[in-house]
Amino acid sequence: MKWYIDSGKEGDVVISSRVRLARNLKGYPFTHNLSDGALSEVLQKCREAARPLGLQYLSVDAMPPINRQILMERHIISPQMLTAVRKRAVLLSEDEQISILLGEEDHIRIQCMTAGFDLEKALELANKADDALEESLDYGFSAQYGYATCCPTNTGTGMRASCMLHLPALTANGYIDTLLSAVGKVGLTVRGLYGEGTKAKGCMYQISNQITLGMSEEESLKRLSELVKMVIDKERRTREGIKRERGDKLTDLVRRAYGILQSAYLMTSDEAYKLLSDARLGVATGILQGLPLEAVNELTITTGPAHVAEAHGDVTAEHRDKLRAEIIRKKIAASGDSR
Amino acid sequence: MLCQKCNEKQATVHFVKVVNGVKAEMHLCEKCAPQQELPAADNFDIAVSDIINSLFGGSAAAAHTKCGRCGTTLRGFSQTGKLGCSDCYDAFGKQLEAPLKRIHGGTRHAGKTPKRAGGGGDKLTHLKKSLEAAIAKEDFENAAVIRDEIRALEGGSGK
Repeated sequence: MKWYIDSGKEGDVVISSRVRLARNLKGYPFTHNLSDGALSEVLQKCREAARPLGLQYLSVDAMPPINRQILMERHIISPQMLTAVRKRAVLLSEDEQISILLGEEDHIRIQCMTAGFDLEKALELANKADDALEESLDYGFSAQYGYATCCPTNTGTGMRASCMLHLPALTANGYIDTLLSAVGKVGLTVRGLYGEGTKAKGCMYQISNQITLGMSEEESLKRLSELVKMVIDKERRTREGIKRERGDKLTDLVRRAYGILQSAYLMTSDEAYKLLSDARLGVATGILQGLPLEAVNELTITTGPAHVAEAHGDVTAEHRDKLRAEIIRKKIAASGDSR
Repeated sequence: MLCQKCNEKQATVHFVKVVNGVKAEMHLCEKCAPQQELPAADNFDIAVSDIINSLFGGSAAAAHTKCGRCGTTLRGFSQTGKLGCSDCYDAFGKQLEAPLKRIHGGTRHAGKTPKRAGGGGDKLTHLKKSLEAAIAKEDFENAAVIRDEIRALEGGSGK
């Protein structure tokens, strides 16, 4: 099962974990300073070095926009890469757990994802890929500043670790705002669905480390894990509280969402996102039974605009809404009844 | 919501840009979105270059320091928040310490070292060296963090 469908550890709150390592080749300017020829050379070198990893090589710049957007909806490429004009590539493992982005802000960005709350596993995978690349690549590195990165905010370990969390209860009681402003003080940050500068959709938030210099990868991961554990606990307790005190309202919200998902004929992607968030809360709190979290995870991805369009040929937005509703109805029917 | 560019199709791609606390939103359809080249992580870069600018305080001499390999100047870096190549870290050396400290708190790498750079995987040796360097610079805050890590490693004796 793909990491973005599988429901892993603490899957009622944590959707997925990710570790990203930024690396640059010694002797070449950073991507924005590279000539087109040198950029091709860098990409080729990295591709060669990655050969032992057995990953598939995809040229992002040569890809139709819709395929790029699919990769973004699966959180494999960043919104910045979506609009790439210059040469860029992704090396992707079959299970899509490992992706190596080439020619982004840094020459190399190794990304490893896991389902649920499993940062250690993600770091382990990333380190393995990093070690394999390093067998034949010389990285820009200095003893004082660590891995050289284009932006000084990544200098040092070049590591950005993050967890994607579903926080409907903390969003509802407004605690999320306190959290947003407090995490910065401990060297962590909270972002929206698709990373930096994006909006939180369907109560999904990414919490990640901010500090990369002066702290080891493990220490950084530990700090992040501790905060995530605290947030999981708070979210769960708030859910319980809401269930206890406003149980009827919560059941009504969840059942309405489920009812619409089950029978709507037209569905925009925003509406799907909101209703799937409500349904997810219903599954996590035991109000909705029979609908597995994996089905919700799958629908969250497969109802993205590019996924719908790709599965049915390029279609108009209106037609897409009809197809989206159909995809949801079918999946729910296949997952069994849930009252 | 309709696409802000063509005003015809549904907007399905949403961008939110925050620059110095001012929020700007953009809602586009898939046809228009790919044509819209967005500045990468604007908000962050501006915050970083603000920090860097404030630290140099417009010192003209420092601003002209140049990287011998890629030609990036310290001024250029302070304007874009981007370094030009790996060698910039050596070229700007000391002058990077203050902004990096503002961003990260620490000024010395304490993580993984590539084998080719003499890392050899011996983290303890690397940490001990970092500790000595931090003490020599009287960076006691950083030294305390490194010391704790050494203790954790030695105490755990797992590796």
